[in-house]
Amino acid sequence: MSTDELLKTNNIEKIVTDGVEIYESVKNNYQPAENGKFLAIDTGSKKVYLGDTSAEAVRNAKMEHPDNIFYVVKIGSDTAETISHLFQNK
Amino acid sequence: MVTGKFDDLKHPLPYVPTVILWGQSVQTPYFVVDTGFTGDLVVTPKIAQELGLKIDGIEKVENANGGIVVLQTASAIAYMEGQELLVTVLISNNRPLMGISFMEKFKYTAIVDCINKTVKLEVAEKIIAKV
Repeated sequence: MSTDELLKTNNIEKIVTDGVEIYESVKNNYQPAENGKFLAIDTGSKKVYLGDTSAEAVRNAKMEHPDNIFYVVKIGSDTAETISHLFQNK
Repeated sequence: MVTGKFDDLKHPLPYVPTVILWGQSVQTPYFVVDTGFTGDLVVTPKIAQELGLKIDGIEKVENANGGIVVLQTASAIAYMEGQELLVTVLISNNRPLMGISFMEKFKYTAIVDCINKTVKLEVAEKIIAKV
């Protein structure tokens, strides 16, 4: 399945909604000891994969789900990254 | 050491070249060194498509106004001065940006010379050795 097909099947909004819900249910297992590390969440299986960086968390997740798209969050934060005023999402 | 330059006359910003690889594709775009960005890299959908990057993540990102945007991400390899590392690339119609996490991974110190309009990325250990 191509990325476009995958995104249509699992739309972004659903990945975010399900990912946030799963993160809320597991975050107490990681906070505060792992604050600053990342979780890649497979919303289908509800499994979470820890990494020191977002790239590492996704790499760990892809070992079991090579074709999936994961919701990625920084532990201890509601978002994965912060971006400056140079960023203008168009 | 990686040397960059100031570009964009309207908003002079420090750009440095970075090699990105994925599969058989390689590109060397110039990225703005952006200490206000906590992640690795931001690239345009055009660059992502040309490199054949595969979307593998969705992230919520907080912008400077406190607003939240949702961006697609992909994994890629960045190559700097003989070192290859896995990085996360955020995809957006924005200037290509290089963030704090990228410089931390490669152990870079950014030296921005606003007088001479140059920018250098230098491995921190080498700077210490000079002192």
